[in-house]
Amino acid sequence: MLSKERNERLTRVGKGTPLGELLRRYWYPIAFAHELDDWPVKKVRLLGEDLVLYRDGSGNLGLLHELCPHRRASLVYGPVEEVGIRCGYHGWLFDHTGRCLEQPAEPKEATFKERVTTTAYRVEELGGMLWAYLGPEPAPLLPRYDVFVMDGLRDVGHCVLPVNFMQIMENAVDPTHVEWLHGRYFRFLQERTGAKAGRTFQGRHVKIAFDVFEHGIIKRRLLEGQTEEDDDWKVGHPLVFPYMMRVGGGGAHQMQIRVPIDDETTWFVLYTCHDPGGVELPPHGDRLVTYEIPWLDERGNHIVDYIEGQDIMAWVTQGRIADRTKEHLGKGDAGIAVLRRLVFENIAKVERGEDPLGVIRDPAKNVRIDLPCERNKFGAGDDFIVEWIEGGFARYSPQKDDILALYRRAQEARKVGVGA
Amino acid sequence: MPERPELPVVEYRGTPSPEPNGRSRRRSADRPAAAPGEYVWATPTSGQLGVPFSFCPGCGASVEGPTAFVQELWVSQESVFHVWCPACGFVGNVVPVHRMIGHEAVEGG
Ligand code: FES
Ligand SMILES: [Fe+2]
Ligand SMILES: [Zn+2]
Repeated sequence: MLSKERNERLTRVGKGTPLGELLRRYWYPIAFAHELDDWPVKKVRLLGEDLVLYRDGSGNLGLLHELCPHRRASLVYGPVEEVGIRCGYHGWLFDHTGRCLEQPAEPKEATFKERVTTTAYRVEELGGMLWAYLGPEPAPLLPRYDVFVMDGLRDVGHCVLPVNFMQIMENAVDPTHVEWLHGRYFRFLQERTGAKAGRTFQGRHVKIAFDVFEHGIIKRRLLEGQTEEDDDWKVGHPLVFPYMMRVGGGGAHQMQIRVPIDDETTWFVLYTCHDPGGVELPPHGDRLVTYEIPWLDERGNHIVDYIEGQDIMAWVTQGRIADRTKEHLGKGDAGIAVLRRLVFENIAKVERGEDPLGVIRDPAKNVRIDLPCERNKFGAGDDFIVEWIEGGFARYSPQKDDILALYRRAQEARKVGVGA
Repeated sequence: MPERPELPVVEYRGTPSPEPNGRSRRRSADRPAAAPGEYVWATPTSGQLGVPFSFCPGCGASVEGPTAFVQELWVSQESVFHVWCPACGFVGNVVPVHRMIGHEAVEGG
Protein backbone atom coordinates (compact mmCIF):
# COMPACT_ATOMS: atom_id res chain seq x y z
CA MET A 1 0.00 0.00 0.00
CA LEU A 2 1.09 3.47 -0.77
CA SER A 3 -0.50 6.71 0.41
CA LYS A 4 -2.58 8.72 -2.05
CA GLU A 5 -0.07 11.59 -2.02
CA ARG A 6 2.81 9.25 -2.81
CA ASN A 7 0.81 7.59 -5.58
CA GLU A 8 0.32 11.00 -7.18
CA ARG A 9 4.01 11.77 -6.82
CA LEU A 10 4.86 8.45 -8.46
CA THR A 11 2.61 8.82 -11.47
CA ARG A 12 1.95 12.43 -12.57
CA VAL A 13 4.07 13.34 -15.59
CA GLY A 14 2.96 16.92 -16.36
CA LYS A 15 5.17 19.99 -16.33
CA GLY A 16 5.78 21.28 -12.82
CA THR A 17 4.97 18.00 -11.06
CA PRO A 18 7.86 16.32 -9.18
CA LEU A 19 7.94 13.29 -11.49
CA GLY A 20 7.29 15.45 -14.55
CA GLU A 21 10.42 17.45 -13.76
CA LEU A 22 12.46 14.26 -13.29
CA LEU A 23 11.18 12.80 -16.58
CA ARG A 24 12.12 16.01 -18.39
CA ARG A 25 15.80 15.13 -17.88
CA TYR A 26 15.62 12.31 -20.45
CA TRP A 27 15.15 11.93 -24.22
CA TYR A 28 12.06 10.16 -25.60
CA PRO A 29 11.25 8.65 -29.01
CA ILE A 30 8.27 10.47 -30.50
CA ALA A 31 8.10 9.08 -34.05
CA PHE A 32 9.70 6.72 -36.53
CA ALA A 33 11.90 8.69 -38.90
CA HIS A 34 10.12 7.30 -41.97
CA GLU A 35 6.83 8.80 -40.82
CA LEU A 36 8.10 12.23 -41.85
CA ASP A 37 9.11 10.86 -45.26
CA ASP A 38 5.50 9.88 -45.81
CA TRP A 39 4.13 13.19 -44.48
CA PRO A 40 6.39 15.94 -43.11
CA VAL A 41 4.20 16.95 -40.15
CA LYS A 42 3.08 14.89 -37.17
CA LYS A 43 1.03 15.74 -34.11
CA VAL A 44 2.81 14.55 -31.00
CA ARG A 45 1.84 14.45 -27.35
CA LEU A 46 4.60 13.87 -24.80
CA LEU A 47 4.56 14.26 -21.01
CA GLY A 48 1.19 15.95 -21.29
CA GLU A 49 2.39 18.59 -23.80
CA ASP A 50 0.77 18.95 -27.22
CA LEU A 51 3.41 19.46 -29.90
CA VAL A 52 3.94 19.54 -33.64
CA LEU A 53 6.87 17.64 -35.16
CA TYR A 54 8.01 18.44 -38.70
CA ARG A 55 10.91 18.27 -41.11
CA ASP A 56 11.31 21.35 -43.31
CA GLY A 57 12.68 21.62 -46.85
CA SER A 58 16.24 22.11 -45.54
CA GLY A 59 16.04 18.98 -43.42
CA ASN A 60 15.67 20.78 -40.09
CA LEU A 61 13.71 18.79 -37.53
CA GLY A 62 11.36 20.99 -35.52
CA LEU A 63 9.30 20.27 -32.43
CA LEU A 64 7.11 23.20 -31.45
CA HIS A 65 4.20 23.87 -29.16
CA GLU A 66 1.22 22.70 -31.21
CA LEU A 67 -0.80 25.91 -31.07
CA CYS A 68 0.22 29.03 -32.97
CA PRO A 69 0.95 31.96 -30.66
CA HIS A 70 -1.11 34.23 -32.95
CA ARG A 71 -4.66 33.04 -32.29
CA ARG A 72 -3.88 29.49 -31.27
CA ALA A 73 -4.83 27.40 -34.26
CA SER A 74 -2.96 24.10 -34.65
CA LEU A 75 0.31 24.13 -36.58
CA VAL A 76 -0.29 20.46 -37.46
CA TYR A 77 -2.40 21.64 -40.40
CA GLY A 78 0.12 23.95 -41.97
CA PRO A 79 2.60 23.72 -44.86
CA VAL A 80 6.30 23.17 -44.23
CA GLU A 81 8.54 25.63 -46.10
CA GLU A 82 12.19 25.59 -47.14
CA VAL A 83 12.84 26.85 -43.60
CA GLY A 84 10.21 26.30 -40.93
CA ILE A 85 6.53 25.53 -40.68
CA ARG A 86 3.74 27.95 -41.48
CA CYS A 87 0.48 28.21 -39.58
CA GLY A 88 -2.32 27.23 -41.92
CA TYR A 89 -4.65 29.94 -40.56
CA HIS A 90 -2.90 33.29 -41.25
CA GLY A 91 0.48 32.16 -42.46
CA TRP A 92 2.80 33.01 -39.56
CA LEU A 93 6.07 31.17 -40.16
CA PHE A 94 8.23 29.61 -37.40
CA ASP A 95 11.63 27.96 -37.52
CA HIS A 96 12.84 25.00 -35.43
CA THR A 97 14.30 27.30 -32.77
CA GLY A 98 10.87 28.82 -32.16
CA ARG A 99 11.56 32.16 -33.88
CA CYS A 100 8.77 33.80 -35.84
CA LEU A 101 10.14 34.53 -39.33
CA GLU A 102 7.08 35.94 -41.10
CA GLN A 103 3.70 37.49 -40.34
CA PRO A 104 2.30 38.03 -43.85
CA ALA A 105 -0.75 40.04 -42.78
CA GLU A 106 1.30 42.60 -40.80
CA PRO A 107 2.90 45.73 -42.30
CA LYS A 108 6.35 45.02 -43.79
CA GLU A 109 8.17 47.42 -41.50
CA ALA A 110 6.55 46.07 -38.30
CA THR A 111 8.86 44.54 -35.71
CA PHE A 112 5.99 42.59 -34.16
CA LYS A 113 7.47 39.26 -35.28
CA GLU A 114 10.72 39.91 -33.40
CA ARG A 115 8.69 40.02 -30.22
CA VAL A 116 6.97 36.67 -30.80
CA THR A 117 8.50 33.27 -30.16
CA THR A 118 7.02 29.85 -29.57
CA THR A 119 8.21 26.95 -27.44
CA ALA A 120 10.72 24.82 -29.35
CA TYR A 121 12.35 21.58 -28.24
CA ARG A 122 15.36 19.61 -29.44
CA VAL A 123 14.96 16.64 -31.77
CA GLU A 124 17.57 14.07 -32.77
CA GLU A 125 17.53 10.89 -34.82
CA LEU A 126 18.81 7.54 -33.58
CA GLY A 127 18.08 3.98 -34.67
CA GLY A 128 15.46 5.08 -37.17
CA MET A 129 13.49 6.95 -34.52
CA LEU A 130 13.14 10.66 -33.74
CA TRP A 131 13.81 11.58 -30.12
CA ALA A 132 12.79 14.68 -28.20
CA TYR A 133 14.17 16.44 -25.14
CA LEU A 134 11.76 18.68 -23.21
CA GLY A 135 13.99 19.61 -20.29
CA PRO A 136 16.26 22.44 -19.27
CA GLU A 137 19.52 23.26 -21.01
CA PRO A 138 22.20 22.09 -21.28
CA ALA A 139 20.57 18.97 -22.72
CA PRO A 140 22.27 15.67 -21.87
CA LEU A 141 23.36 13.30 -24.64
CA LEU A 142 20.84 11.05 -26.34
CA PRO A 143 21.99 7.66 -24.98
CA ARG A 144 23.27 5.27 -27.64
CA TYR A 145 22.03 2.04 -26.06
CA ASP A 146 23.27 -1.11 -27.82
CA VAL A 147 19.94 -2.09 -29.37
CA PHE A 148 19.65 1.21 -31.24
CA VAL A 149 23.11 1.09 -32.79
CA MET A 150 23.89 -2.59 -33.35
CA ASP A 151 23.55 -4.43 -36.65
CA GLY A 152 20.61 -6.72 -37.10
CA LEU A 153 17.22 -7.28 -38.61
CA ARG A 154 15.07 -4.56 -37.05
CA ASP A 155 11.46 -5.22 -36.21
CA VAL A 156 9.30 -2.84 -34.22
CA GLY A 157 5.79 -3.51 -32.87
CA HIS A 158 3.96 -0.73 -31.07
CA CYS A 159 0.63 0.51 -29.74
CA VAL A 160 -0.85 3.28 -27.63
CA LEU A 161 -2.29 2.14 -24.32
CA PRO A 162 -4.75 3.85 -21.96
CA VAL A 163 -2.55 3.48 -18.92
CA ASN A 164 0.01 5.39 -16.85
CA PHE A 165 3.55 4.35 -17.84
CA MET A 166 4.59 3.56 -14.25
CA GLN A 167 2.32 0.50 -14.21
CA ILE A 168 4.23 -0.85 -17.19
CA MET A 169 7.54 -0.05 -15.51
CA GLU A 170 6.49 -1.91 -12.39
CA ASN A 171 5.90 -4.95 -14.59
CA ALA A 172 9.58 -4.72 -15.59
CA VAL A 173 10.66 -5.49 -12.02
CA ASP A 174 8.08 -8.21 -11.48
CA PRO A 175 9.82 -11.44 -12.53
CA THR A 176 7.36 -13.88 -11.01
CA HIS A 177 4.44 -12.76 -13.16
CA VAL A 178 6.05 -14.67 -16.04
CA GLU A 179 5.30 -18.12 -14.64
CA TRP A 180 1.69 -17.15 -13.88
CA LEU A 181 0.55 -14.74 -16.58
CA HIS A 182 2.60 -16.26 -19.41
CA GLY A 183 2.77 -19.74 -17.85
CA ARG A 184 -0.29 -20.90 -15.95
CA TYR A 185 -2.82 -18.64 -17.67
CA PHE A 186 -1.40 -19.43 -21.10
CA ARG A 187 -1.68 -23.16 -20.32
CA PHE A 188 -5.26 -22.63 -19.17
CA LEU A 189 -6.04 -21.01 -22.52
CA GLN A 190 -4.28 -23.81 -24.36
CA GLU A 191 -6.42 -26.42 -22.62
CA ARG A 192 -9.63 -24.68 -23.73
CA THR A 193 -8.77 -22.96 -27.00
CA GLY A 194 -6.32 -23.42 -29.82
CA ALA A 195 -3.81 -21.08 -28.12
CA LYS A 196 -0.28 -22.41 -28.02
CA ALA A 197 1.45 -21.83 -24.70
CA GLY A 198 5.22 -21.56 -24.75
CA ARG A 199 7.00 -24.20 -22.72
CA THR A 200 9.89 -21.91 -21.89
CA PHE A 201 7.71 -19.52 -19.87
CA GLN A 202 6.57 -22.14 -17.39
CA GLY A 203 9.59 -22.24 -15.03
CA ARG A 204 9.01 -21.80 -11.28
CA HIS A 205 10.87 -18.95 -9.60
CA VAL A 206 13.07 -19.98 -6.71
CA LYS A 207 14.47 -16.54 -6.02
CA ILE A 208 14.63 -13.05 -7.47
CA ALA A 209 17.00 -10.15 -6.90
CA PHE A 210 17.33 -6.49 -7.85
CA ASP A 211 20.53 -4.49 -8.07
CA VAL A 212 20.62 -0.78 -8.73
CA PHE A 213 23.36 0.11 -11.25
CA GLU A 214 24.31 3.15 -13.32
CA HIS A 215 21.48 2.73 -15.86
CA GLY A 216 18.68 1.45 -13.64
CA ILE A 217 17.89 -1.85 -11.96
CA ILE A 218 19.26 -5.27 -12.90
CA LYS A 219 16.64 -7.94 -12.43
CA ARG A 220 17.69 -11.52 -11.73
CA ARG A 221 15.73 -14.73 -11.45
CA LEU A 222 16.66 -18.25 -10.46
CA LEU A 223 14.27 -20.86 -11.83
CA GLU A 224 13.76 -24.37 -10.57
CA GLY A 225 16.60 -26.58 -11.79
CA GLN A 226 18.94 -23.61 -12.40
CA THR A 227 22.08 -22.60 -10.55
CA GLU A 228 23.52 -19.17 -9.88
CA GLU A 229 25.77 -19.75 -12.89
CA ASP A 230 22.81 -19.60 -15.26
CA ASP A 231 22.36 -16.45 -17.36
CA ASP A 232 19.00 -15.57 -15.79
CA TRP A 233 20.70 -15.10 -12.44
CA LYS A 234 24.31 -14.34 -13.29
CA VAL A 235 23.58 -11.77 -16.01
CA GLY A 236 19.89 -10.89 -15.66
CA HIS A 237 18.55 -7.92 -17.57
CA PRO A 238 17.91 -4.30 -16.72
CA LEU A 239 15.11 -1.88 -16.26
CA VAL A 240 16.65 1.16 -17.95
CA PHE A 241 15.64 4.07 -15.78
CA PRO A 242 13.12 5.62 -15.99
CA TYR A 243 11.05 4.29 -18.89
CA MET A 244 12.68 1.36 -20.73
CA MET A 245 13.58 -2.28 -20.25
CA ARG A 246 16.29 -4.22 -22.09
CA VAL A 247 15.36 -7.83 -22.78
CA GLY A 248 16.15 -10.55 -25.24
CA GLY A 249 17.73 -13.93 -25.56
CA GLY A 250 18.97 -16.32 -28.19
CA GLY A 251 20.04 -13.58 -30.62
CA ALA A 252 17.10 -11.23 -30.12
CA HIS A 253 17.94 -7.89 -28.59
CA GLN A 254 15.05 -5.76 -27.52
CA MET A 255 14.32 -2.47 -25.86
CA GLN A 256 10.83 -2.22 -24.48
CA ILE A 257 10.02 1.46 -24.50
CA ARG A 258 7.17 3.00 -22.53
CA VAL A 259 6.82 6.63 -23.56
CA PRO A 260 4.62 8.67 -21.19
CA ILE A 261 2.23 10.52 -23.50
CA ASP A 262 0.36 11.92 -20.52
CA ASP A 263 -0.75 10.81 -17.05
CA GLU A 264 -3.08 8.18 -18.46
CA THR A 265 -1.63 7.23 -21.84
CA THR A 266 1.56 5.43 -22.90
CA TRP A 267 3.15 4.67 -26.26
CA PHE A 268 4.43 1.11 -25.95
CA VAL A 269 7.22 0.28 -28.40
CA LEU A 270 8.92 -3.10 -28.77
CA TYR A 271 12.13 -2.18 -30.60
CA THR A 272 13.82 -5.42 -31.59
CA CYS A 273 17.06 -6.21 -33.33
CA HIS A 274 17.61 -9.80 -34.46
CA ASP A 275 21.15 -11.04 -34.88
CA PRO A 276 21.58 -14.73 -34.11
CA GLY A 277 25.27 -14.56 -35.05
CA GLY A 278 27.21 -16.68 -37.52
CA VAL A 279 25.05 -15.82 -40.54
CA GLU A 280 24.95 -12.90 -42.89
CA LEU A 281 22.11 -10.54 -42.15
CA PRO A 282 19.63 -9.89 -44.96
CA PRO A 283 20.02 -6.45 -46.49
CA HIS A 284 17.64 -3.92 -45.05
CA GLY A 285 16.79 -0.40 -46.12
CA ASP A 286 16.80 2.70 -43.98
CA ARG A 287 13.17 2.30 -43.09
CA LEU A 288 12.37 0.47 -39.90
CA VAL A 289 9.79 -2.27 -40.27
CA THR A 290 7.07 -1.06 -37.89
CA TYR A 291 3.55 -2.30 -37.24
CA GLU A 292 0.78 -1.79 -34.74
CA ILE A 293 0.02 -4.68 -32.45
CA PRO A 294 -3.64 -5.28 -31.65
CA TRP A 295 -4.67 -5.82 -28.04
CA LEU A 296 -8.48 -5.64 -28.09
CA ASP A 297 -10.71 -7.88 -30.18
CA GLU A 298 -13.79 -6.69 -32.07
CA ARG A 299 -15.94 -7.20 -28.98
CA GLY A 300 -13.67 -5.05 -26.83
CA ASN A 301 -12.12 -7.94 -24.91
CA HIS A 302 -8.38 -8.22 -24.39
CA ILE A 303 -6.45 -10.38 -26.82
CA VAL A 304 -4.60 -12.67 -24.44
CA ASP A 305 -3.26 -15.50 -26.57
CA TYR A 306 0.18 -13.89 -26.94
CA ILE A 307 2.75 -12.74 -24.40
CA GLU A 308 2.52 -8.97 -24.73
CA GLY A 309 -1.27 -9.11 -25.06
CA GLN A 310 -1.31 -10.79 -21.65
CA ASP A 311 0.95 -8.10 -20.19
CA ILE A 312 -1.21 -5.36 -21.70
CA MET A 313 -4.30 -6.96 -20.16
CA ALA A 314 -2.66 -6.80 -16.72
CA TRP A 315 -1.51 -3.18 -17.08
CA VAL A 316 -4.75 -1.85 -18.53
CA THR A 317 -7.08 -3.66 -16.14
CA GLN A 318 -5.21 -2.11 -13.19
CA GLY A 319 -6.90 1.15 -14.19
CA ARG A 320 -5.58 4.21 -16.00
CA ILE A 321 -3.70 5.11 -12.84
CA ALA A 322 -3.67 2.17 -10.45
CA ASP A 323 -5.06 2.97 -7.01
CA ARG A 324 -2.05 1.97 -4.96
CA THR A 325 -3.80 2.81 -1.68
CA LYS A 326 -5.74 -0.43 -2.19
CA GLU A 327 -2.94 -2.78 -3.24
CA HIS A 328 -1.28 -5.43 -1.07
CA LEU A 329 2.39 -5.92 -1.82
CA GLY A 330 4.24 -9.01 -0.69
CA LYS A 331 7.78 -10.26 -0.73
CA GLY A 332 7.49 -11.06 -4.44
CA ASP A 333 6.96 -7.35 -5.03
CA ALA A 334 10.36 -6.33 -3.68
CA GLY A 335 11.36 -5.05 -7.11
CA ILE A 336 8.35 -2.75 -7.22
CA ALA A 337 9.39 -1.21 -3.89
CA VAL A 338 12.93 -0.71 -5.20
CA LEU A 339 11.70 0.99 -8.39
CA ARG A 340 9.35 3.33 -6.54
CA ARG A 341 12.05 4.22 -4.05
CA LEU A 342 14.44 4.94 -6.92
CA VAL A 343 11.86 7.29 -8.45
CA PHE A 344 11.57 9.18 -5.16
CA GLU A 345 15.35 9.36 -4.72
CA ASN A 346 15.78 10.76 -8.22
CA ILE A 347 12.97 13.28 -7.90
CA ALA A 348 14.89 14.62 -4.91
CA LYS A 349 18.14 14.67 -6.90
CA VAL A 350 16.53 16.82 -9.58
CA GLU A 351 15.09 19.11 -6.92
CA ARG A 352 18.64 19.55 -5.58
CA GLY A 353 19.82 20.50 -9.06
CA GLU A 354 21.71 17.25 -9.72
CA ASP A 355 21.52 14.93 -12.73
CA PRO A 356 19.34 11.89 -12.04
CA LEU A 357 20.23 8.23 -12.65
CA GLY A 358 21.20 7.32 -16.20
CA VAL A 359 21.71 10.83 -17.58
CA ILE A 360 24.82 10.85 -19.78
CA ARG A 361 26.97 13.84 -20.62
CA ASP A 362 30.35 12.31 -21.45
CA PRO A 363 30.60 11.50 -25.20
CA ALA A 364 33.31 8.92 -24.48
CA LYS A 365 30.74 6.94 -22.48
CA ASN A 366 28.14 7.23 -25.20
CA VAL A 367 29.76 5.58 -28.21
CA ARG A 368 27.74 2.44 -27.61
CA ILE A 369 26.22 1.56 -24.24
CA ASP A 370 26.18 -2.20 -23.86
CA LEU A 371 23.59 -3.25 -21.32
CA PRO A 372 23.79 -6.57 -19.49
CA CYS A 373 21.26 -9.06 -20.86
CA GLU A 374 21.01 -12.83 -20.58
CA ARG A 375 21.45 -14.77 -23.79
CA ASN A 376 20.38 -18.25 -22.73
CA LYS A 377 16.95 -17.04 -21.60
CA PHE A 378 15.09 -19.30 -19.14
CA GLY A 379 17.83 -21.84 -19.88
CA ALA A 380 15.78 -22.74 -22.97
CA GLY A 381 18.44 -22.39 -25.68
CA ASP A 382 17.10 -22.19 -29.24
CA ASP A 383 13.54 -23.05 -28.21
CA PHE A 384 13.16 -19.68 -26.56
CA ILE A 385 13.36 -17.60 -29.69
CA VAL A 386 10.87 -19.64 -31.71
CA GLU A 387 8.31 -19.58 -28.89
CA TRP A 388 9.00 -15.90 -28.35
CA ILE A 389 8.24 -15.08 -31.99
CA GLU A 390 5.29 -17.44 -32.47
CA GLY A 391 3.75 -16.68 -29.08
CA GLY A 392 4.64 -13.01 -28.89
CA PHE A 393 3.93 -9.72 -30.67
CA ALA A 394 6.23 -10.63 -33.60
CA ARG A 395 3.54 -12.95 -34.89
CA TYR A 396 1.98 -9.72 -36.23
CA SER A 397 5.18 -8.71 -38.00
CA PRO A 398 5.02 -8.41 -41.79
CA GLN A 399 8.52 -9.96 -41.87
CA LYS A 400 7.88 -12.78 -39.40
CA ASP A 401 8.86 -15.50 -41.87
CA ASP A 402 12.13 -13.73 -42.67
CA ILE A 403 12.96 -13.53 -38.96
CA LEU A 404 12.27 -17.22 -38.36
CA ALA A 405 14.26 -18.13 -41.48
CA LEU A 406 17.20 -16.11 -40.13
CA TYR A 407 17.25 -18.14 -36.91
CA ARG A 408 16.87 -21.41 -38.82
CA ARG A 409 19.88 -20.54 -40.97
CA ALA A 410 21.85 -19.68 -37.84
CA GLN A 411 20.96 -22.99 -36.21
CA GLU A 412 21.99 -24.91 -39.29
CA ALA A 413 25.23 -22.98 -39.52
CA ARG A 414 25.98 -23.86 -35.91
CA LYS A 415 25.35 -27.55 -36.52
CA VAL A 416 27.69 -27.50 -39.50
CA GLY A 417 30.20 -25.60 -37.41
CA VAL A 418 30.10 -28.20 -34.63
CA GLY A 419 30.46 -31.10 -37.10
CA ALA A 420 33.38 -29.53 -38.89
CA MET B 1 2.81 -27.21 7.61
CA PRO B 2 1.57 -26.05 11.03
CA GLU B 3 -1.18 -23.42 11.08
CA ARG B 4 0.08 -19.93 11.79
CA PRO B 5 -1.62 -18.16 14.68
CA GLU B 6 -4.05 -15.37 13.81
CA LEU B 7 -2.73 -11.86 14.20
CA PRO B 8 -4.56 -9.64 16.64
CA VAL B 9 -6.39 -6.86 14.81
CA VAL B 10 -5.89 -3.65 16.71
CA GLU B 11 -8.04 -0.68 15.83
CA TYR B 12 -6.69 2.84 15.65
CA ARG B 13 -7.58 5.25 18.41
CA GLY B 14 -8.81 8.71 17.54
CA THR B 15 -6.85 10.89 19.95
CA PRO B 16 -3.10 11.14 20.50
CA SER B 17 -2.03 9.99 23.90
CA PRO B 18 0.74 11.63 25.92
CA GLU B 19 4.22 10.16 25.97
CA PRO B 20 5.32 8.69 29.30
CA ASN B 21 7.32 11.86 29.96
CA GLY B 22 4.22 13.97 29.55
CA ARG B 23 5.09 15.50 26.14
CA SER B 24 2.52 14.96 23.47
CA ARG B 25 3.64 12.79 20.56
CA ARG B 26 4.45 14.56 17.35
CA ARG B 27 2.23 13.12 14.69
CA SER B 28 0.50 14.32 11.58
CA ALA B 29 -3.16 15.10 12.10
CA ASP B 30 -4.36 12.53 9.59
CA ARG B 31 -2.78 9.59 11.36
CA PRO B 32 -4.16 9.02 14.82
CA ALA B 33 -1.89 7.37 17.33
CA ALA B 34 -2.39 4.17 19.20
CA ALA B 35 -2.37 4.22 22.95
CA PRO B 36 1.00 3.40 24.53
CA GLY B 37 1.66 -0.30 24.51
CA GLU B 38 -0.69 -0.97 21.65
CA TYR B 39 0.50 -2.04 18.29
CA VAL B 40 -0.30 0.06 15.27
CA TRP B 41 -0.75 -2.54 12.59
CA ALA B 42 -2.10 -2.19 9.16
CA THR B 43 -3.64 -5.61 8.71
CA PRO B 44 -5.38 -7.29 5.82
CA THR B 45 -8.66 -6.91 7.70
CA SER B 46 -8.31 -3.47 9.19
CA GLY B 47 -8.30 -1.90 5.72
CA GLN B 48 -6.11 0.85 7.12
CA LEU B 49 -3.05 2.42 5.67
CA GLY B 50 -0.91 2.94 8.72
CA VAL B 51 2.77 3.50 9.20
CA PRO B 52 3.63 2.87 12.85
CA PHE B 53 6.48 5.38 12.99
CA SER B 54 6.95 9.00 12.04
CA PHE B 55 10.70 9.51 11.97
CA CYS B 56 13.73 8.22 10.12
CA PRO B 57 15.67 5.58 12.07
CA GLY B 58 18.87 7.03 10.63
CA CYS B 59 18.60 10.73 11.40
CA GLY B 60 15.28 11.37 13.12
CA ALA B 61 13.83 13.56 10.36
CA SER B 62 10.12 13.18 9.67
CA VAL B 63 9.23 10.60 7.06
CA GLU B 64 5.55 11.50 6.99
CA GLY B 65 5.56 13.97 4.12
CA PRO B 66 5.13 12.77 0.53
CA THR B 67 8.77 13.47 -0.34
CA ALA B 68 9.90 10.60 1.89
CA PHE B 69 9.24 7.09 0.65
CA VAL B 70 7.53 4.55 2.88
CA GLN B 71 6.16 1.45 1.21
CA GLU B 72 4.41 -1.27 3.12
CA LEU B 73 4.92 -4.91 2.14
CA TRP B 74 3.41 -7.92 3.83
CA VAL B 75 5.89 -10.68 4.38
CA SER B 76 4.49 -13.74 6.04
CA GLN B 77 3.12 -12.58 9.41
CA GLU B 78 4.92 -9.27 9.31
CA SER B 79 4.46 -5.83 7.85
CA VAL B 80 7.71 -4.58 6.38
CA PHE B 81 8.07 -0.87 5.72
CA HIS B 82 10.62 -0.08 3.04
CA VAL B 83 11.91 3.40 3.83
CA TRP B 84 13.96 6.03 2.07
CA CYS B 85 14.64 9.23 4.00
CA PRO B 86 15.21 12.34 1.88
CA ALA B 87 17.06 14.08 4.71
CA CYS B 88 19.90 11.57 5.20
CA GLY B 89 19.45 9.02 2.40
CA PHE B 90 18.77 6.13 4.75
CA VAL B 91 17.43 3.07 2.91
CA GLY B 92 16.12 0.19 4.95
CA ASN B 93 13.26 -1.93 6.11
CA VAL B 94 11.48 -1.21 9.37
CA VAL B 95 9.73 -4.26 10.77
CA PRO B 96 7.56 -3.85 13.86
CA VAL B 97 7.80 -6.99 15.95
CA HIS B 98 4.75 -8.24 17.77
CA ARG B 99 6.10 -11.69 18.37
CA MET B 100 9.68 -12.90 18.13
CA ILE B 101 9.91 -15.92 15.88
CA GLY B 102 13.12 -17.93 15.85
CA HIS B 103 12.85 -19.21 12.35
CA GLU B 104 10.25 -19.74 9.74
CA ALA B 105 9.39 -23.23 8.54
CA VAL B 106 10.70 -23.85 5.06
CA GLU B 107 7.80 -24.55 2.76
CA GLY B 108 7.38 -28.26 2.23
CA GLY B 109 10.32 -28.89 4.56
S1 FES C 1 -2.37 -11.85 -8.28
FE1 FES C 1 -1.26 -10.07 -8.72
S2 FES C 1 -2.71 -8.71 -9.49
FE2 FES C 1 -3.86 -10.41 -8.90
FE1 LIG D 1 5.18 -10.18 -19.03
ZN1 LIG E 1 17.12 10.20 7.77
